[in-house]
This record gives sequence, C-alpha cells and structure tokens, in this order.
Amino acid sequence: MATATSTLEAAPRPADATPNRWAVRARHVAIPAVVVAAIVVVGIAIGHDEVPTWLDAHVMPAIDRLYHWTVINNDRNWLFTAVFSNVSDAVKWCTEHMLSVLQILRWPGVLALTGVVGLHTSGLRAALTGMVVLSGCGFLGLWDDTMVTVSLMLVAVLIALLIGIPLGIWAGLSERAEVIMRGFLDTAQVLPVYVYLLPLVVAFGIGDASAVIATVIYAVPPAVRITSLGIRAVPATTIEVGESFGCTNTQLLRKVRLPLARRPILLGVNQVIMMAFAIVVYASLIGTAGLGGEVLTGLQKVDVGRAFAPGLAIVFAAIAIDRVTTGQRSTSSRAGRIWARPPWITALGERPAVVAALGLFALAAVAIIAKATGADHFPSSWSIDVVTPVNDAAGWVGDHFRRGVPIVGGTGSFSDFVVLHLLNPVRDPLQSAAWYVIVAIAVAIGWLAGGLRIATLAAVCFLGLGALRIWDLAMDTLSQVLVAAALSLLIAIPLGIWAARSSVVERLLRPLLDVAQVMPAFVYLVPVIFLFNVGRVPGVVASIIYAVPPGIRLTTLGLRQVPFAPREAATSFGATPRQELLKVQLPLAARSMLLAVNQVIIMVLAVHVVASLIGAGGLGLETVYGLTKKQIGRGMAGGLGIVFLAVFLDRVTQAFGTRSERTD
Amino acid sequence: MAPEAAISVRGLWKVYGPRAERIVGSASADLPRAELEARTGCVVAMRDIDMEVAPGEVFVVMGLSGSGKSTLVRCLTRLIEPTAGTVRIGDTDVTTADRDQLLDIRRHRVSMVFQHFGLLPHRTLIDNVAFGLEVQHADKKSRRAKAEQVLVLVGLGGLGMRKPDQLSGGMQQRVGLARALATDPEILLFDEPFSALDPLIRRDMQDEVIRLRREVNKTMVFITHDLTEALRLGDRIAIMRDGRFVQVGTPEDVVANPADEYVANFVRDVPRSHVVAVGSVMMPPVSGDHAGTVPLTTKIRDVVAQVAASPLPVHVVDAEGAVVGSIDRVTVLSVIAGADLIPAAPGG
Amino acid sequence: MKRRNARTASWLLAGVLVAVAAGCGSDAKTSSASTAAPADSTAGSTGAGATGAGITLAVNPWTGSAVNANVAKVVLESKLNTAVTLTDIDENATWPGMDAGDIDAVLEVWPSGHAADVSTYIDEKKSVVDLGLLGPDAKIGWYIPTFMLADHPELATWEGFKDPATAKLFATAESGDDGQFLMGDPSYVSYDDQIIANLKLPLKYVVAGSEAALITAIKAAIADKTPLLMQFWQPHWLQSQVELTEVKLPDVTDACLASAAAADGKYACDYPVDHLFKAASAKLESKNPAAFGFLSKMQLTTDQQNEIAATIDGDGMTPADAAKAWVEANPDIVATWLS
Repeated sequence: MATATSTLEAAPRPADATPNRWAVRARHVAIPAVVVAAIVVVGIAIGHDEVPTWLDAHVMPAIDRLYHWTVINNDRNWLFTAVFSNVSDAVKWCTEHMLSVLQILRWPGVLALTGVVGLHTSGLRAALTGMVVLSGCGFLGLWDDTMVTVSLMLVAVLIALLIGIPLGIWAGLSERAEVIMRGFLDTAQVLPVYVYLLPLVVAFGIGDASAVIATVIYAVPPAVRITSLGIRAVPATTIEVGESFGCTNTQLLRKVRLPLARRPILLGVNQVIMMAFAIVVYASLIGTAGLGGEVLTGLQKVDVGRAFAPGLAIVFAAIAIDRVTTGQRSTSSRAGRIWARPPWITALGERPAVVAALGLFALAAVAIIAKATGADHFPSSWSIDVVTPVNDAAGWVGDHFRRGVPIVGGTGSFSDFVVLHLLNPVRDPLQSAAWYVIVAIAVAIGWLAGGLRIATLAAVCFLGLGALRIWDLAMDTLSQVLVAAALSLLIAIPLGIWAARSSVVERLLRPLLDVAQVMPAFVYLVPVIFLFNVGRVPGVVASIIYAVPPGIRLTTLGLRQVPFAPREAATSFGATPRQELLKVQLPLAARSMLLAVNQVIIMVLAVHVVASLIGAGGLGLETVYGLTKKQIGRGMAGGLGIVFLAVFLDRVTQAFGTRSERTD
Repeated sequence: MAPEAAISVRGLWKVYGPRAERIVGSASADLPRAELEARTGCVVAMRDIDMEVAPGEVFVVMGLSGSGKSTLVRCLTRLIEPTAGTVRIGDTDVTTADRDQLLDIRRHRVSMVFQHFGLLPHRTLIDNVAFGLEVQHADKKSRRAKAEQVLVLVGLGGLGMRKPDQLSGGMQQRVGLARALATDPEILLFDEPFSALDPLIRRDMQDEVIRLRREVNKTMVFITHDLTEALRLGDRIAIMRDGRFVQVGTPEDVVANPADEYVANFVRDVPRSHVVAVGSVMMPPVSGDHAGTVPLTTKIRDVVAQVAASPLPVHVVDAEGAVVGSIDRVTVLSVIAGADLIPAAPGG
Repeated sequence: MKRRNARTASWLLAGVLVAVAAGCGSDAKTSSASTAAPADSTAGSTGAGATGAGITLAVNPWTGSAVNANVAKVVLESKLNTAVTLTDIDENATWPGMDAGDIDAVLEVWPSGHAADVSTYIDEKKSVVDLGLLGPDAKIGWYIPTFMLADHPELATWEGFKDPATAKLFATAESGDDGQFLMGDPSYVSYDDQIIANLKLPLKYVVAGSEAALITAIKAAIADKTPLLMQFWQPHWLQSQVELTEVKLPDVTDACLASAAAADGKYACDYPVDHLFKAASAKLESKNPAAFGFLSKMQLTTDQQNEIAATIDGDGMTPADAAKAWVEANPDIVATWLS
C-alpha cells in the first residue's frame, strides 16, 4: 500500500479539513457575532427607536430643487437647448423613419421581412414561427398600433446595443471598468421607471424621444452584462494562441474575442429586446402612440378584454422579434433532423449572398404587390374579437373561483390567509424591531454569505434605507418580496425540475412562460384584484406571475447543466431516477438554483412598483409619487430604497452561490 | 466458449437516428457512414457484436475514438439501450430485464469505472465510495465502514473526509475504482479509466488493476484506446473498428497474427519481445545442459539476460514445473528482430 | 468564410432596405405624418380659407377628456381649418408637454391634483396659461354601495360609522379589527386619513394604489354584496353603471379650508367642489390665435359631457364619431364657442 501512495502526486491543496474545521467555523461565527453585538450596542447607545435620517433631510430636497430648476430653465440653459433638444430630435427622426420603412413595406412586406430575417439567422422553423406570431397582431386588429410600438422598440434596442455592447466589451476587458459600471447598471436596472419618467420629459420633451431614452436606460444593463460575460468566458488558451501569433490587442478583440463571444452577445440582444418591450406601457404615459396606450385605456376602464388584446399584441411582437433575431438553429440541429435535407437547400445554404438577394427580391415583390393591391392595412375583416371572450372568461373565473371552491374556500379566503398568516407575520417583526437589530441581522447575513465585503454592503444598504426616511415602507416591501419570492420558488422549482426531466413539459411550458414574462402586468392587474381583493396579495400574485418564469427556466437550465459523468455514474450504480435527482442533480445544480433564487427576488422587486398600484403599498407607491405628485425627491427616495433592497438581496444570494461553488 | 460465461453478448447492435431498428441487419447498414447518415439520418455505432467473457477473465476492448467501444460497454448494463441483440450477465438476460432486475444487476453484480471519474464533487471521498451502497439503502454506518475498507485497499486510507477536488487525477480515479469495488460486484467495467491521466500515473494505475485482479479476482471488461495498456492487462483483446470486432485473441495472437491491415498497422511498432511469451516460440525440449528454467508465460524480453549470459538453451517449464520446451539465443534474437526470420508459432 | 459571407449579405440587406426607405422618402413623409394622428385625415382639413397652424391636444386616459378633445378637434378642423393631433398622455406628463409647446392645450384639468403644476407652470414660469373653466364641477366624497342602506340606513351620514360594530362590517384582512376605508390612486387629493382621525372613526385608511384597483374593488363589492367604503367622485363613468351613495360628511367650513391650506392635519369636513378648467401652452396664442380664442370659449355642461360619454362607453362609438355626431346635432352650442 505504501508504494501505491508514495507514487501519487502531492494533493493540490493541503489537507486543512478535519482538525481545524471547528476553528474555521468558530471564526465564521464569532466575528459576525461580535460585529452584530457591536451594532446593537451602538444602536442602543444612540437610543432612538427611529433610524437616523440624515440623508433625507438634505439630499431629497436638493433633488426637488434641482428638478424645479430644470423645469424653470429647460428653455434657456444651453444644456437643454443645445444638447438635449438635438438628441431628442435625432431620436425622433429615427423612430419616424423606422416607422416609415415599416409602412412602406406594408403588412405583407413586414411579414415577409420577418420571414427573410428569420430564415437568414435562425432557419425555416423560426421564420415561420415569427411570421405566424407577428400576424397575430393583425388578427387582433392592432397591426398599425403594433408597427408604431415596434418601430419605437427597434430604435431603442439598436441604441441600447450601440451603447451596451461597447461598454460590455470594455467591462469584459477591464476589471476596473466592470466594478465601476456595476453600480450604475444595478441602479439602471432596478430603479423604477416612474422615478425618472418626468425628469426625462422635462429634459427631452414628451413623446418618442423620452420613451426611447427610458427604454434604453432599462435595456442597456443586460446588454453590457451579457457581453462582458461572453468576453470573459473566452478561454485563456485561445487568447494565448492569438497572442502567440502576434495579434495586437485590436486584432485579438476582433478576430478572437468577439467571434467567440458571439453566442452570448446574441443572447444579450435577445434580453435587450425583452427588456425593451417591458417598457412599452410606461412609454405610453408620456405621449407615445401604439399598443401601450391601448393597455392603459383598458386598465382605466377596468376592461380586462380591452387591455388584454394590446397586451397580447405586445407579447406577439416581442416573441416574433425574439424568435427571428436569436434563433435556436444550433440546438435544433443538435436534436437531430427527422427529415433529410434536400441537396438544393444545402447548396443554397452555402451561398448566403444568393439567399439574401433572393430574399430581398421577394421582399420587394411583396411590398410592390401589396401596394398595387392596396393592402395598406391589415384586413379588418380578418380580425378576431378577443375582447368579449376574454371578458367572459375573466367573468366566469371571477364568479367561480372567488368563493365556494371546496377545501380552500376560494381566492378571497386564500387572500385573507396569505395576509394573516404569511405577510403579517413577516412584516410585523420587521417593522416593530428596533432598526439596529434589523441592520445587525442584515450585516450578519451579509457576513455569512460573503465576509466583510458583503457585510459592509449590507450595512450601507440598510442604513441607507433609514437615512432616506423610508424604513417602515422598506420593511413592508421587504416582507412582501420575501413572501412573494418564497411562493414563486415553491411553484418554480418543482415545475423547473419537471421540465428538466420531460422535454414535453418543457415545450408545453415555454410559450406560457414567454407570455407571462412579456405580458405587461397592467393587463392582469384587474382580474387579479377581482380575485384576491385589494391589498398586498394581488401584488404578491402579480409578482409570482412575473417571477416564476425565470425561476422555472433557471432551475431547468441548472439541472440540465449538471455534468453527464456523475449522473451516468449514479445510474450505473443502480440509482433510480429519483435517487439520481436527489443525490446527484439537485446538489450539483445548487449553484444555478441559487441563481434562480436571485433572479426570482430581483423580478419580484422589479414588479413591485406595478404591484403597488393594486394595493401593495410600500416603496413602490413612493416611486409613483415621483410621476404623479411631481415629488421627484420622494420618488427618488422610494426608488433608491428599492435599489438598496435589490443590491442587498442580489449580492447576498450571489455570494451564497459562489460560496457553495467554492467549498462544496 | 464456456457455457458458464460471466458475460455473453449475441448480435448486439446500436444504431442512432430515426427508426433505427430498420437499419439492423439490412443492406444499408453496410453503407459508408456519411452516405448512410445522408440517406436515413442514422448512424451505426456498433454492429453485430458477439462476445463471451469467462469468469475471472480480463477482456480488453481496444479501438480508436468513435469505434463504438464506449457504446458497447454501456450497452452491457443498458446505460445505453441497444437497438438489437442480447446481453447476458451470468444467467440473467439484461436486454429483457425489467426495471427491478436491471437495478439489481447495476447495484450488486456489475460496477463501472469511468473515464472522467464521475465523482460527486459535493461529497467527501468516503461518501463517494459509499454511493453504490447508499442507493442500495445500506445503513450509513455499515456503508461507511465498507467504504473506508475499500479506500484502504486502493491506497487512500485516512483521506476519506476530503473532497474530490482536493485530489489529483490519479487519486480521483482511485476513488472511482474504490467506488466500483465497494459494492463487491462480480464484474467490473472500465471505460477508458486511465486515459485522462499522466503516463506515469497511468502505469501505476495499471499495476493497481493487475494487483487488484490478483487479490479480488473479478471478471473485468476494460475499454481502452491504448494498445500498450491493452497488451499489459488483457487476457484477451478485441480490436474494434467502425462498430465491429475485427479481431479477438490473446495479446500474442494479435501481435503475432494481425487479422488484417488495420490491426497490423496498429501492432507494427509493438516490440514483440514485450508481448510474445516463450511458450509460443519455444523449441521442443532438448536434453542436456541448460542455463536455467523459465515459466511458459515469461515474455521474451525477460529471458534476454538469461540467454545472453550463456550459450546454453533455457528450459521452459509449465505450471507444474515439467519441462515442456526450450529457448535459445537464436529464437530470442529472431523474435526481437522480427517475425520474418522464423515462421510464426502456431498460436497460444 | 461562410460566416463572413453571411454577414456581408446581412449588411447588404440592411443597406438596400435603407435605400428603399430613402427612395420612398417623400412617400414616407406623408405616411408618417398621417399616422401621427391616424384619425384626423378623415375629419377633413381640406377646406379653403385661412388655415391655422396645426395644434396638438392632450387626451388623458378617461372618457371625459377624450370627449372634450374630440369635440374640439371636430370643430377646429371643420370650422377653423386647423389640423388637430390628439396625443394620449398621462395627465402629469401633459404639463411639461405644454411647457415645451409639444402639447398646445388640455381641456379638462382637475385642480385638486395639479396645485403644484399650476404654481410652477402657470404662476411661476408662465409657460402655461389658464383657459378658463370647462363647465362641469367635480366633487370628491365618501361613498358606499347603495344596497347597504337597506340594512343600515344610518350609514347615509358619517355618524353611522362611529359605532365600532357597524364599522367592523367593513373590516378586511388588511384593515384588521377596524373597518377599511379604501383610497384609490394615492396621488389624488385625499384628506381621508385626517377626517378619520379627527372624527375619531374606527376605520383604517387603506390605499388601493390606482383608480383601476379602486373600481375593481367596487365592482367586486357590488357583485358580492359585500360592504365597501371608499373615496370616489362625480363625474365618473362608473356612476352610471353601478349605484353608489355619497356618505354625508360634516359641511365644509372656512376653518376646514384653512387647515387644508395650512396642512396642519386638522381637516375634518367634506371635500370642497372642484371646478374643472382648461389650460394651454403660452405659445398657442401667437401660434394660432383663432384656436386659442375658440378653446377659451369652449364649454360643456356636465350633462352634455355625460351624454357624449354615454355614446362612447355605452354604445361603443369611437370618441371621434361620437364627437362628430354631437357637433352636427348641436350647431347652436358650437356657434356660441366661435362667436
């Protein structure tokens, strides 16, 4: 035996395991314990039950004064007259011309363009899907509105990519740039649109320009993040190959990094499109035409069906663009073709220029024929009325589910249950505990998750909540976020597991998830209130609808990404599928599951503002004041509160994720 | 072929693609790979394999990547479902086994060692080794005791509380080996277990297998792409190409009598003296003085020193010690120089 | 290499598309102009005579606002040769719009929600001007579904809510032991929490978050015959669909109005009446004096506005058609606006 071990390589890491494990553990617990105790002592010494609110006293009034100054001076100061107004004009020019292109093509031409782009990037299947889905907007009788919205979104997406991809490349190449950008990106992604909508209008005027800029603010972060991730994921060996052949940095970027990061960058494009469509309804608040306004009108009239049709059109447009721009060509070919590909298609595939020319020719032909036949508008006789059926369905659900359901009693009593037994028990201790206790707990959690760095961040975030004088509201929001995230995960993880184990389930779920993710929450607010009564529960339900899709997707992805080798090994030892799931897949997917937790929490926070419009209250409502009462400072405080909570929850869950990777 | 074979495979096929069954045994199965795929969308991974492995035998399947050898070993316990044919483990028909029978075979009778180890990174070594026992629902105490015992056997005693990523590749594969041994199976399957290791470590591990074989006497099916490894370990070697066996025989057989050009190319650079045993090239016993005795199975290279030291022939003896032949400098030199000098021996 | 070809091809495609767009530039111009206001070309701005500069009117997301704007549009286009673009926009974003001149006028402002805008844009910056009263008066108040009066006639006045047992009828999971008082959009004017506190009523102030949420809650309460107490107002389209009764609060007094102005938290009476007014960008008068004069004079009574709104909400006419029909049927009223 001795001979056997003596020839082994030295273990890469010294054996630190057994003997001093307790010492390590003690260190992990003792230091945070001391810090927590110190915070509590200091807190008691300060002696206030209320949080120190120094920030509130100075910063928010300053923001209000700045806004007021802007309002008064936006027609005199050069910044507005020389810079912002030109930006505004340029953006307007873009959206107008984008719309003209779509209008010249007419509806058959736009459908053909969708098909050509889909064929080119993603194959026949995606092209057909895109065309069918997009034509759905016409069948809803909303073709013209859809084109207005699409032109706006296309411009916003292009600008977001023009900004986001270079920034993402920079962040991918430079650690410092990444660190600096991260704070801005977090804020841009989580800060509710309501906070900056009115300031944008003051700077850039009502209409398309402000709407595009708001969309860009919201859509740039994923472009930067995913591009940076893609650049960083390029293997070091490949970079070395490039360097060894004497590539300059520029050549390295152009010939090695960018081509290899192509897939993630395309994924970034996809995410940017999805994010952009999430802003459509807000854009209509500031005077843009299109589908968003229709949704709001429906909401205003409390007419579910009327809000549903344009909501569905938004979903259709987003899905169509998504499918044709970021097709899953590679995955479908991997799955194996059922039919053999005729040789002429293969031959064409090798001559993309010919295909493009043919496509273009077809496109022009379609547009000309459309013009000649006077097909200016999508035939109204083709439109299908969804308003009545949706209203009937919503009415039926309302009549039958609110009460009298066996066992659970109905959605109304379920709602009461959630308030009394979930929301209140979480909220009340958060609100009634002395502020320093909560800060201390947050710091302790931060410490456990990621040591000093995250602990400091936790302290900053929670003291910030106090300093902004939004403590109670923030605790209310936090309680709702925790409950909604927990319920979302309770739904998402089992479904995600199921989808990972059955591709049929995954395929059935996919369109539902797409719809739930892109459908503006404004559309289903009314039925949700009708079912669950006004209060925090409808907000929780709306959050769940929005947060469950990424939860399911990431769970499925995490399970699928578990390396095959250990799973096969488990099977070879006679593990049943259940044993394989519990003993191999779930533990190995723990890290991506934490990512799912992370994303679910962020999504719940993202929808919190909308939830506040149906009774959730909390910080979300504060941000609405930024628009509706022109109390920009107050809205900003609420928005920053959401950012603080988001950053805290995000970093803590991420830190737990990397920790589990490190030590397990 | 002994009727009590540990593993018996008959007419085993694996075809990937739509409606794969139709390809089995049909004329199109003989089409070139690319043409078959273009016409039917199907790929034949393994065709019409017959094999018998005797109890206690080490059967090596050797082939280049894509030859179908990994598919074959996985079909033995239906980690991959064969398209046609039968596999018997002892007296159980694996191919028709129901779920419970299959689990029983995997849990108790056959274990596998994998190329990429397949260890569970979140578990300690001891719990990795105990995994097979755990899925059998063995209680924690007994399975850990057994696991500790096996870890000692593979030379990792006392390291049970480490995690796999704290070990080198060679040590990780020892864990893989220990895990396979822990369930005390009749049969061990090795899927290129050492190909990811450094040459020196690989040699150690091969020695480990040889040693284990002596100590635990299991039937083994060993997949490799490394001819040296195959020759070192195998009682018999099957050379696999394009999904079929092109030759099955003892190491000497394969080296001395390659079945076709393909095998011949393979074994061309193998020093015969490393493979050929004295028994297969010896001359009839001669009386008179001799420079010593060697067992039948001694490789030629191991008698070089003896024949060089003396002009006298060396006696070859069988297991009982009876003289069955003799070998001298000329024979040894002719083996080292190449087969052309002497007619190949009638086989072993 | 193939990839490169593909990329070249896609650039080619993009390039040709741009060329097509540019080539059809003139076509594009006209079509984009006509889509900015899809409905207006039909209303006919073809008449001869003095043509005023085109103007933009805000449409805020409620029927009354659409009625006013569409009526004005019909008149402006048919009588004053002024092309009108209607822009759907949030009422709060309307003010910066008028400030910049992107929006020329809004015809229905509820003063209670826009005190800050009035002081900033009209009084301080003077970039927006008051166009006078629209006509209808609005009144915020406390409301309950009328059916509740059958069993609880005492709820017709605020004193009925003093009894904790009665107030508890309105309790929900959110309000706990007290009765729930539901507020809709929190940005609307509200003294309700002060009224509750100062009149010492066993009620809890709960914010629904939006007008839509409030309306849904009302509809649910009426469908289920469950109690509900909320802030609501007249005129509102819902008033013609469901039966609501205003709860009588203590009469408005000068002291009350003074405490509202002082924001001292001592408000304890009914809401004062709101007089809806019109506002315009300061640039409108020089840009199109005729339109400015007309918009200053245009007025609708509550009944007239409701009559047109009913044809939209009730009969499903488009606002444009409803306005056109009403203008054609009431030439004498329109004439007074143009005199």
